[in-house]
Amino acid sequence: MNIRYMLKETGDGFKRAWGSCLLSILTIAFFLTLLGFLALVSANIDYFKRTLNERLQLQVFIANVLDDREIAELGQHIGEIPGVRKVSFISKQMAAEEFQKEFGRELFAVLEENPLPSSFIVQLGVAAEEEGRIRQIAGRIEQLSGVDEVVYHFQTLFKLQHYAQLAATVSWILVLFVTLGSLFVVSNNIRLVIAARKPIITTMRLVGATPAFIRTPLLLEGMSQGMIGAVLAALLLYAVNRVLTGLVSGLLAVPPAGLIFIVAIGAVLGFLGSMLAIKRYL
Amino acid sequence: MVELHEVRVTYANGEGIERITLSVAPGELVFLVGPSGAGKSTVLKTIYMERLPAEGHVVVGEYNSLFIKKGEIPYLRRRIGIVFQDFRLFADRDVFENVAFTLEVIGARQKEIKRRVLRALADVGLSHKARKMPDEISGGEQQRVAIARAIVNEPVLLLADEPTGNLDPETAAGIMEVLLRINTRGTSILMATHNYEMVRRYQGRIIQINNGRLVA
Repeated sequence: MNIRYMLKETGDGFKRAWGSCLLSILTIAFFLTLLGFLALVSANIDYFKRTLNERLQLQVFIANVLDDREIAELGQHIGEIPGVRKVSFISKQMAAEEFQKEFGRELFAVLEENPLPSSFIVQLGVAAEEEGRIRQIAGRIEQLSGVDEVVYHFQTLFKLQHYAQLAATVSWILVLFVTLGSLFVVSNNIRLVIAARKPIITTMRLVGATPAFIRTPLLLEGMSQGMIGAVLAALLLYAVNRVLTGLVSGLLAVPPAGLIFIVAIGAVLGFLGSMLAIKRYL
Repeated sequence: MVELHEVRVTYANGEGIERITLSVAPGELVFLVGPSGAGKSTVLKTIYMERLPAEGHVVVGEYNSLFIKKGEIPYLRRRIGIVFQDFRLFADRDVFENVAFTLEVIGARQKEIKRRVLRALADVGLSHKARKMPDEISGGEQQRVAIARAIVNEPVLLLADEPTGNLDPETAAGIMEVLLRINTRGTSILMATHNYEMVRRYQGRIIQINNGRLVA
C-alpha cells in the first residue's frame, strides 16, 4: 500500500470537507475534555478515599485505674482484634503536650493536675465504606475491661464517603455517554464523507481499487480527527488543571501519561467511529 | 482473451441479457451495437464482473466468473480499462491526478507514475492540460482524460461504454481516432454504442444486440 498516497488522501479529505471536519474535531475535543475532567474527578475521589482510609482511627480512652502492665495488656488485646492495623499509646503527659501544641495554652496554669486521660489511637485496616465493620470493631474494644470510652467521629466521614461513591458512579456513567457520543460524532462525519464521495468511490472500485485502498484514508481521517480533538482536549485539561491545582491545595495534577492516554483514546475512538461508518455505509 | 458462454443476467424489472455467447481476441476491435436498453452495458458489466451471470460464465484471461472470489475482482479490473459515457472523472483532482489514480491503486512508484501518466496524456493529446481540473476542460477533453486513465496501466482490454454518446460528431470522431490508435498498438477494444452509422465507417467486428439477445 502506498503510504504517501494514503497520507495525501487523508489530508485532502480534511481540505475537501474542512467545515464538517472542524466541527467533528471540536466536538471530540469537547467530549474528551469532559472525559478528562471526569477521570480527574474520579482520580481525586479515589485519592480522597485513600486519605480517608489512612485517617480511619479510633481513640480509646483508658480508665485511670490501670497500671502500666495492664495498659500494655489492653493495648495488646486491642491490637489482636481483626481489622486493627496499628495501636499507638498516648500517655497523659503526651496528651497534655498535644493540648498545649494545639491550643497554645498552658494546661496546668489553671488546673493543679493533668485531667487528660491516657489513650490508645487505634488505626484501622478497613476501608471507610465498611461502616458496619468499623462499628463492630469499636463495639468490641468498648467491651474490653479497662476501656473508659471509644470515640470516633465517622458520621461526617461516612457521609463524605457516600457522596464520593455517588460522584464516582455518576462519573463513570457520564464517561460511557461521552465515549458513545464521540463514537457517534466521528461515525456520522465519516458517513457524510462516504455519502458525498459515493460516485467517486464507485469509480475507484471500477478502476481496480481494493476495499482496503478505499477504506484506509477514511480510517486515517477518522483517527486523525479523534487525535487532533484529543490533543486539544489534553491541552485544555492541562491548562485548567494547572490553574485549579494552584488555587486548591491537595488536588491531583494531571500526569503526562494521562494526557498521552487521552490522545490515544481519541485515536482509538476516531478509528472505531470510522470503522462503524465504513462497515455500515461502504 | 474474453469469452462469454451462454450468459444470462436478469434484473428485478425483468430486463437483462439472455444466452449471450461472444468472444474478443487479443488485439481485436469489436463494436457491440444496439439501441438503448438492448443490454450492451450489461454485457460489459459481466466482463468487469460488476454483475455475475445467473447462468453461463465469463472468462477474462485467467479469471472465470464461476470461480472468481470477491477479493480477486479488483485485480481483474486492473487488467481492463473502462471508459464510460459520462466520463466519471474525479472532480476533486486535476487531470494528472485523475490519470495517476489507476497507478496509485497498484502502488506504482512516483517516478514511474509521472512517466506513465505523461505518456498516456500525450497519447490522447492532453499533455498541456495536465494541471487543469475536470470542470475547466471540454466534454471531449474529459473523455480523453478518461481514456488516458483507462490505458495508463496498459490493459489487455479496453471496454468503452458509449464513449461518444455525450459528444458532438466532430469531437466523437476525435475520440474514435484515439481509440483506434490504441487498438493498433495491440490493445483489444470492446466498444458498446447505439450509433451503428458511426461504427460502420471503422474497421472492426460488429456484433448486434437487441432485447438482451445477440442478433444473428
